[in-house]
Amino acid sequence: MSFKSAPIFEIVRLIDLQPPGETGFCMLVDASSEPRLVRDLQEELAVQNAGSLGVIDVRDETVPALVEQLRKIQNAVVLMHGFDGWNEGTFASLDVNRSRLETGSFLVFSVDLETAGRFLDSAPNIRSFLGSNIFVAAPDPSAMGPEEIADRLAQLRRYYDLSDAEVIQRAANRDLPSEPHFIEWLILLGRSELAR
Amino acid sequence: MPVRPWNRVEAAKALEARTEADLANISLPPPHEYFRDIRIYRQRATDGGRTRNGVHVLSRHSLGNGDTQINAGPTIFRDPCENCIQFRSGAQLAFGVTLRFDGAQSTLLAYRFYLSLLPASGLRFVRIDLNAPKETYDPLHMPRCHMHPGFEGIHMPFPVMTPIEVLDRIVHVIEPHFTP
Repeated sequence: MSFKSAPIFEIVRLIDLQPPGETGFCMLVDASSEPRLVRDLQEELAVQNAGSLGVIDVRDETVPALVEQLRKIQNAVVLMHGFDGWNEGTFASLDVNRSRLETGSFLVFSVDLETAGRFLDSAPNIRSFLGSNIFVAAPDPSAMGPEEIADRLAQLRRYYDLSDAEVIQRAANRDLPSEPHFIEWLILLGRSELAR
Repeated sequence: MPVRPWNRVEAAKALEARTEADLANISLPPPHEYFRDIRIYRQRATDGGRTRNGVHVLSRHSLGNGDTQINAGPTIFRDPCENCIQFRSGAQLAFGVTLRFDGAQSTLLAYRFYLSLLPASGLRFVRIDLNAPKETYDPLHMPRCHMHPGFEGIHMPFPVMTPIEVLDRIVHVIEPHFTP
């Protein structure tokens, strides 16, 4: 089974685009880093002004108790985790109670790969609610990789006709031009301490 | 009528002191949070139809000491610029922001915003720079925060603003002026 991968930014965009009051469904297949996932979701929800996050550990919950919790919860987004302890019968029971999941919140089912398979096989109606909203949480792609850093450094060397060593030497001598490109150059070289 | 004495060098120094005071009052969140702020600002500009492409042109590089570079588009602008922010008018924007993080908040070290305009605009480009801090420099001819109105050699003093404020002025005020 393979799923689309999406960074948290895109997943929160999906949540943000959900019409207010309409229940949304999403499955995140990535249980290995739950505390980080929760933190990233909270931060991105705050930045995108997409509502607060509630978290429910379903490990020891019965389906009626979970449904009751969801009915009472006030958060715009609810992340549920701990499904790995559920058996096929519990998933099927949740599927039977699917209409009671429609509380107006955006529901995120956080599962590992093996549990995702059991969940989706045992709860076909929830699977149709999820539609294409099944994702593997991908790392944020915005960090510059070595190739991008090398490419930007090459642009600078070419444009100013200076070597990295010359820039470092001039920074050490406090003789570096003040244009923004030069401090960027030091950062790309990992030598921004020279600009202190 | 007597003319009051005027010393343009001293006036430029006084203006620079005001810029530095304004800069000292700008406090930004940690770099990773500020990157997210810029990213959602960019996304909303595209959602609202002001710009054409998404947030994939943004990238960042953070060092262990917290110093961070946030870029959109290339470091050195070259036309055509596929990975710049694209406007419907055909204008293109690249920018770079350098932040220093003290463990609680970020301060601005430098920024550059390069708005490339179509030939019919009458101006080739508008560039807004905040230069890196330097002990000695000529504030009359190159104030730390300045705008180039289409000419590399002209450094018009410019009020220091946060990067998102500069971006907002470019996206919603400056660039629309050049939209046919």
